[in-house]
Amino acid sequence: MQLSEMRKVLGEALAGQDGFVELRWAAKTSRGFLVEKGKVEQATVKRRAGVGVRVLEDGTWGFSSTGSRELVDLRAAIERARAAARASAARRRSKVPELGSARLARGDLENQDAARVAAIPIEEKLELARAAEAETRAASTSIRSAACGYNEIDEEKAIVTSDGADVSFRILRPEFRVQAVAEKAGRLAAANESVGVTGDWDCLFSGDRRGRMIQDAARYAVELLDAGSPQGGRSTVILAPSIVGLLVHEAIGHTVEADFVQSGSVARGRLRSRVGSDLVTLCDSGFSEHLAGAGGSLPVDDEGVLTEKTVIIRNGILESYLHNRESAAAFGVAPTGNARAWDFSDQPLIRMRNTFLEPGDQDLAEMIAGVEEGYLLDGPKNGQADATGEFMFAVQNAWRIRHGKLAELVRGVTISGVAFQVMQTVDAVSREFRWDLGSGYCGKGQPAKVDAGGPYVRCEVLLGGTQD
Amino acid sequence: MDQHRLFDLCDRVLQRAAALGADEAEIAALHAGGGEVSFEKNDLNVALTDEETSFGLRLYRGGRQGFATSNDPERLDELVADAFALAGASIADPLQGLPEPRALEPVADLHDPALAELEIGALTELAATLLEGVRSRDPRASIDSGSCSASSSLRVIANSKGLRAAESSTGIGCSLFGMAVTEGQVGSFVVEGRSARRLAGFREEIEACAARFADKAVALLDPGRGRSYRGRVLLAPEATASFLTGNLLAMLSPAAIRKGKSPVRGEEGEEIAARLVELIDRPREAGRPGASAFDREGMPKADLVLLREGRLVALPYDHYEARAVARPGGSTGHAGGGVGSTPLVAVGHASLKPGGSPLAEIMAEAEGAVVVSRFSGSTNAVTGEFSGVVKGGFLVDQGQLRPITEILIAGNLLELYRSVLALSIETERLHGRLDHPWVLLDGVSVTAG
Repeated sequence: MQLSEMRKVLGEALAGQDGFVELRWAAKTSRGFLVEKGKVEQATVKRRAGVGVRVLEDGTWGFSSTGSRELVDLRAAIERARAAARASAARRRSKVPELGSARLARGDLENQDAARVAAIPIEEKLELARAAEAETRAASTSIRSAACGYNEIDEEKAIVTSDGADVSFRILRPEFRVQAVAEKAGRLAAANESVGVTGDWDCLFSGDRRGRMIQDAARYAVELLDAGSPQGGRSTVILAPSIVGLLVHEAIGHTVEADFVQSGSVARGRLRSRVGSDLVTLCDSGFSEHLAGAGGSLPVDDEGVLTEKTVIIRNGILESYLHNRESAAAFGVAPTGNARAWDFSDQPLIRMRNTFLEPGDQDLAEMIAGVEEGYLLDGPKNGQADATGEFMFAVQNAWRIRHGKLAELVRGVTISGVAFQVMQTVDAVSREFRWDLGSGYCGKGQPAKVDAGGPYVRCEVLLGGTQD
Repeated sequence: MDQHRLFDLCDRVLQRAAALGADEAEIAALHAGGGEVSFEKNDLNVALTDEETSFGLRLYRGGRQGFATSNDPERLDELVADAFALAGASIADPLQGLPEPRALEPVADLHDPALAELEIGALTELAATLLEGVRSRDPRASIDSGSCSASSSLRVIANSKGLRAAESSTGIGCSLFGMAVTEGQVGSFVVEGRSARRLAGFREEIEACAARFADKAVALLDPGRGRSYRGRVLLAPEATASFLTGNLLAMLSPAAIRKGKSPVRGEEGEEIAARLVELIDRPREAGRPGASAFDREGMPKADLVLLREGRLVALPYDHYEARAVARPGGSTGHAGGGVGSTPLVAVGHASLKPGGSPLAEIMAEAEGAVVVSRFSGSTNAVTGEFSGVVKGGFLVDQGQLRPITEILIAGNLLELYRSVLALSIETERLHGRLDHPWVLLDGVSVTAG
């Protein structure tokens, strides 16, 4: 069934319904290939499709879902959602306010990139992973094992609501990953490189990215074999765009999601107050700002609201939270297009899209020259943040900076700090900008494909390491 | 959907795969339904019900594997075509293939009819009890998110070698995620949850969960500063489970060992931990959440001792990995994963055997040490190196636990196993599944902010 036809089916299911009803068709096809040590570890196609039904009744939400696209099943799902809402309405203390007006999307949104990538034969996608894995293994005699993976998530959505959203669109997000494991005298070291975009292969592999990822993964795995551990303690650091992206996503972005604000996050009650230095301007956008291909781009959110660029912090002052329709009504502002659901069976939650720090006007070399003792940090391995704004990120590549010059690589680096305090210590921001969350996903009960990035940023953090 | 209908659909898929020319095929199917009441902002958020049938097909053509999934029983021909095309494009691997059927012994108490028939209204009542329990225990405790959910499922696996396995189960669970909030202060995140196979007795579990969540959250208010040192650290049961045990299990993966990506490669039969360490997997305990009679490939599950007196005495295997090392007896029943993924070795019910030391005695030996409730960081499964932040951290100060913040720990996990000083007699059951002890370790680098 064509997407536009699905919109019509959803519209027919809505006919005669009272109150607010939202129907969201989502069909997801994931194709994945993983090659490791010359063997195909994964060759998969996963299809999942259905309709998520959300109703607002008696001041509370009811939700149901069905894998069927038949009219009779959709109407039955609406009734189940209504019954669920009625069953919980009496127990809900704070009623959901009436949803305000929003920039609701209408029409069929074209996406030629998605069709182009989906049409590439599976043989070619598998060969991409196979050849890259072989090249990575051959890059150095110290490489003991390599793995390369290619994934793409091809999503079609149609969203129809009783108050006017009526839209369908398609998004395709390809990803590419390389891992190299090196060994020397029984000591192992691993390095990973990954990229994920919203767009086609020209975007995924722009500027010989494929070759660069292979070379970098192999080179860093080998160099990390001889790397020592850092001494733990407070330090001046220059964060690469990959770490800046993780920092602004995990440690700030989550605290300004309006549902978390209402639960009591550290950002509650701090609108219009200073949370960073003058150099800090933080945004979240449904578009790929500054550079093409940001992995979290989407034209419409899962409530049918058109996305936008939201300025969260402007020159160090907290300016806005991130909203869905419910929280926007509660705060008396317009929704920002941040309601997202992973699958048809997931309810929309407030999630980020592409979160980034605006670039500044300095050169990286100039920033390094200004550090007497410190580190340049690049390549996040993972990260989490606490309700307090305290964050933790593991870093793959950490170079010492001594007397204004880059020095040796160290391994096993973790950084921590309290986000709003660290943002106050930012004293230099580069012109260079990158989207760089790689193939990462955000988890909040359900996954979401997001991206994040920014310029190089100089600040103060706590560095984890060894103690004598 | 009943078992008969689900097997019918699976047989149709196997027949279709054979007709296309597949040498072997395996279909896993899951029919699941249930309800959930979620929380947000200290209130009920959404009540939902759902029901879905999903399929995962693995097939082989000349040693080449293809895998596809679908949640549409009306489009199973497309499922077979997807997997068949993928296998055609793939590379042959002589180790690929499916296991022969083996006798299965059912596990008792996996299905509770009362839970299978639980209405969304009754689930909402339980959810409200959880919410009210937190509010009444301590108003400073704030729920950011959470849920109360119940499910009923039927799982079947069939393969072209005649294997047919089926199991019905039910589950109920609750989870809370949040922190304490006071005027001018936000505490650290805490997580608390319970799960069970039966409805009877779960209201008491909910009340205990609410109280524990609130107490844990409030205990982290007004944290002080710690100090940097290298030495002893005490792991609470939650950290023992997720950090100490969970990360070692990743290193015991036979696939990681085969690929040269595990620090325990070549260590089978060797002493890799202090002699008081025993690690056992018990996947068949009656009535336990997650317990099951068979694994993702339909092979019988059984207890497995992984570490005895610190020695690595066994590894977990699925069919592929057992073939890779020509293991007599084949798979140990450790093929993990759901319908939506290909089988991979997984150990789901392993815990460290409790030791002989009372917690009070261990606490006395841990004077001045950091207590780790949770570890939020990175552990490199290739090297064993770890580094990260202590969550829910305390300092043992004259026998009392004082909350502390901004503490990082670093070291090597295998060195930690060799430096285990004591395991407690006392244990804590986490999520209704397994009992884990407190563990006192030495040689950890602690960095304070």
